[in-house]
Amino acid sequence: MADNDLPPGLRDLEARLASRPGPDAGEAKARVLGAVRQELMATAHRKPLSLWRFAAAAAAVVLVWVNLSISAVNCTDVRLRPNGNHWDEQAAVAEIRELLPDCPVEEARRQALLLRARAQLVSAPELRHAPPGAGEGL
Amino acid sequence: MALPADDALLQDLSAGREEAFERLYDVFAARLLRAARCICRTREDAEDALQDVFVGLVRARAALGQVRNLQAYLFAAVHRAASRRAERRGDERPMDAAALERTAGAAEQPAEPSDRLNRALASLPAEQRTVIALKVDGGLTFEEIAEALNVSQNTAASRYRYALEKLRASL
Repeated sequence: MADNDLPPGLRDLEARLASRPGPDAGEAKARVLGAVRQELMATAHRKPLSLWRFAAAAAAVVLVWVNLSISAVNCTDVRLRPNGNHWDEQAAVAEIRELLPDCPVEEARRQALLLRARAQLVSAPELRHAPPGAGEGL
Repeated sequence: MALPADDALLQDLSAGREEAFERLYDVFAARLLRAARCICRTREDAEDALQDVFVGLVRARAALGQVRNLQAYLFAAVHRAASRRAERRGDERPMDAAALERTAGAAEQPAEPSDRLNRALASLPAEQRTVIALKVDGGLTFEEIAEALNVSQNTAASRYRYALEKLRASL
């Protein structure tokens, strides 16, 4: 419907509505303009955030963030450090040689080191479509 | 219907000049208040809605430079403010017969025949009263009404026509 597309009867009614008396706006003028004045004064007194204050706030946020990140890293065990148990290489070599008397000392030390390294590995999911031979030696 | 002096007035409003708000009041307040009164049940709520609009203008004055049509902007704002006030009072439904009688007896009601017209207007659902306020009091186009109410242009137009037909039937 276009803006002026009304039958004559409704157009007359529209004219009556347009000419109906409304409340006197003069009575509310002092109150409304008083509120406007108050709001203008209040907004004028609100100083905008200065650049140095913004910089200080940003620096504080960065410091807190760095601090929290470092704390989080320190508290997270990513299993990169040796565990607390003391590892006795000589004892491990002796145990291997006890099981395999023919094994030379150097080979026993190598096997001991490999066994220890394997014990530190983090378990990982196996690849479903791994090529033949992949993962061998782990 | 944009005023030719809209741009100058908007600049003064953006600059926070108090006299600009007074000029705006002198030009628009009577129609804004009548539109608000059409949406709200009481004169107090309508005046509060008008004050909300003006205080809102002060707070948002930095963005007033982007306003293309000051009149449409003001009437959309008064619609929002008056609807909020009406919602708080639960004024959205049409008045029942008893409430209409009380309204008719109120001192602020004008004498016949606009008295009958106002009572008939009060008996309309809120959405139809709102369209009448924006179209008749605000002089907004259906396109501007549709944008203010977030409805389609056809919906705005049909609400207006239904409202007028209902008014005619009840007069």
